[in-house]
Amino acid sequence: MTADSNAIETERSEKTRENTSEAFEDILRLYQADVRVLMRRHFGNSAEADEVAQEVFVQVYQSMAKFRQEGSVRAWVLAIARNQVLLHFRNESRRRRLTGSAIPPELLEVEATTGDADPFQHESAQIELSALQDCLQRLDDQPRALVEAFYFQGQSAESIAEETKKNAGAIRMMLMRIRKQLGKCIRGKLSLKNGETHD
Amino acid sequence: MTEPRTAALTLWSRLISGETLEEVELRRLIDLTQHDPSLRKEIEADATLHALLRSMTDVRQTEDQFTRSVLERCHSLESNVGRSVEANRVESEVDTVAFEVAAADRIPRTASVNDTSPPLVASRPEQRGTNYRKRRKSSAWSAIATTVAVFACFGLIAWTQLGPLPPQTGNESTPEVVQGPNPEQPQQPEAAATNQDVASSSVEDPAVNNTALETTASPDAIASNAGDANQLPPNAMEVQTPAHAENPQMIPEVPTQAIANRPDVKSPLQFVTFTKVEDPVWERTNAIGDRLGDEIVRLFAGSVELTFDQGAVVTVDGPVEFRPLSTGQLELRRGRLLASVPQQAIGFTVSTPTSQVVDLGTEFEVAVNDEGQSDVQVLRGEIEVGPVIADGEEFQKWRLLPGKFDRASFFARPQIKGPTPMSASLRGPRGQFQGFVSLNGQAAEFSSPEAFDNVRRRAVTELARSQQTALRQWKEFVDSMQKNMQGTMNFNGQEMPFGSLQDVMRMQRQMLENVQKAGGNSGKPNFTGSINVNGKVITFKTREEYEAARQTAFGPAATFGIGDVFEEDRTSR
Repeated sequence: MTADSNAIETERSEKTRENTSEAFEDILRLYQADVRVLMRRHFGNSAEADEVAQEVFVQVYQSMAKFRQEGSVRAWVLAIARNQVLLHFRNESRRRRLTGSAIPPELLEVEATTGDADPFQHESAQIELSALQDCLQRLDDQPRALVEAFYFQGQSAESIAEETKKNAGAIRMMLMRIRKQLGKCIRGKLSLKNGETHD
Repeated sequence: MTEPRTAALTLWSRLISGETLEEVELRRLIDLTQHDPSLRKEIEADATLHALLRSMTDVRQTEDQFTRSVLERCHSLESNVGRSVEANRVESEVDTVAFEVAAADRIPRTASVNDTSPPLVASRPEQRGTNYRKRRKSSAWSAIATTVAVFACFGLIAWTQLGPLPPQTGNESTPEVVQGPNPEQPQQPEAAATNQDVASSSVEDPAVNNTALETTASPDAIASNAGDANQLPPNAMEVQTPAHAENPQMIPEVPTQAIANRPDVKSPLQFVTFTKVEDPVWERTNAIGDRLGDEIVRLFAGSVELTFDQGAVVTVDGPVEFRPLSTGQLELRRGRLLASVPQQAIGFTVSTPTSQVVDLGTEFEVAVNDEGQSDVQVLRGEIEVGPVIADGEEFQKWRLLPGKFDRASFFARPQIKGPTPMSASLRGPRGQFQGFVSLNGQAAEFSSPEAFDNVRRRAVTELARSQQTALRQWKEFVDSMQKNMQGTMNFNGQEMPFGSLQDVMRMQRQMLENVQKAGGNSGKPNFTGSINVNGKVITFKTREEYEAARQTAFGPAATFGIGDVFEEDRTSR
């Protein structure tokens, strides 16, 4: 390779790099919510979840050049994310350091191959979040207050139980029932929306 | 049916609400969900909703902050990425070029469509949402445009150059061929590097993982992976496992060519002949008469007879893993072998993770279990056996003779080698699948890849945990022994001071010799004396008292058996 062609190569790779980083910013903005929501399925602690999510995007950045045409970018990013979760759990020492509760991959499927991994897999987290917002409005006062206390004000099931003179187990089960109800509502909304687009 | 379900949901509701479950509880929950797909589905959905609810506030509010942190991290990496880009520019075949062009071409185009939106500017979530949808649509269009362009490029390249493409061709589209390691290449150079490297190379392109594996894992890769498994910590092994476990086995290539490329090969020569091959289940295609050199052989089932050029005949039944090292040497990693060694091959050696067996003209059997424990039995003739020891260590060797002491066991040493689960899977061209996981002597066979993966992952997790516990206990034990091993022993008038575990071991060996000498002279050895350990004095006058004193004073260290060896001495006379 001559000095000339070397210079050309360098210039070209500079160019690719610029383009790549622009494309990356785009991917990051588009899919950060998806990845961060996915991480919150597995890591009880939001800081930990976001830390892993950041690592995912660093991975994405590093393997940008290898993304291939087949399949969507989102699927590719999520596949990297799932792999990252697996790696985190595989690393035993890391697992021990995890704060709060972490849900091991034996329990929650993270493999990219199963459709169950993401019940709303065809929608982006942004859309799901908007749908969830609507669905929350439709909840009765009491369940909505419970969701707000637990999720938005960060109260523990025990402290809610104390306030409401119930036991913590009952609160946890109630939360689970509410989540089920919300899930049904979201699925309904999203399939309705899909129907509309079809027409 | 309803009861375990309720139990599982109760446990789950605790876990998801942020409680830390006990190990047992978590295990139970995992077991319960694994046997009930509908329960699993429910939990999956619940986890998603939970994650969404948690994301309602923090994900939405910290979007820009998150984006900024990622960009900062990536920018700090940028110079490194540039370097690796340079380093990985290599010759590619026409079709790989097409792939790479597809990838490189697509990304810049996606970017250019979105030029209008300024980065890092906070906007209201709703607005942002619609922006995203618009963007996604335009991305779709750009994807179509790119596809067309790529096909055009591909056609052009294929038409003009029907052969390997030199890297610095003047073709317009080649400059984009400046990416990271190419997944289509048969063996990535860094694949054999550190754990982290192995791990990240599997992550880098998960979308093509399956296909990549089929092309990357050669029979040789299997062998060298398996070869390293013993030396690696368990989690490292697990990360590596997919490389060989998922490998389609009946690859017709003869592995000899690959051997030459393997770094740990001692000699590419072949010095063993397959003299019997019966119903083998393995990752090879060998038949009777085929030759074998220094390589790892894993036989999952069936039976194989090997004749070494020097004359030793070794029969193995699956499951077994071994490696002929030379015409007079074989390494048995797992499983059982029967060796028949004629006169001219005396000195034939079998090494296992825990022992060395040197043949002195004989027939013998060696078995290595999954914990690395090896059991040796001599059937005819005589063999010399001893443990594998590190430099500077001392330990005894024994001769085994039929009718005398004809069996020996060597156990895994916790601080060096622990039980490593064996796992492998076989795949056929028509989707046939067989998975094997073997841990602590319990072997399982699977016909579904999902179940296999699941169990394999759990086996390894369990292992890592139990090994850590074992290591800790062992360390505690050794520490306590080291601290509490100060004193002297008076035995038949001979004064022996000791200050460490090693001293005690050495002393006991010394005593054995003395006792044997004394026994040889008078026919009845003496057992009088005292042990003074950490200021405590224990006296003894008979052999029984001596044994008891020894147990009290040295605890587990006393198990190194003067008593046992004394028995041997008596029997061999």
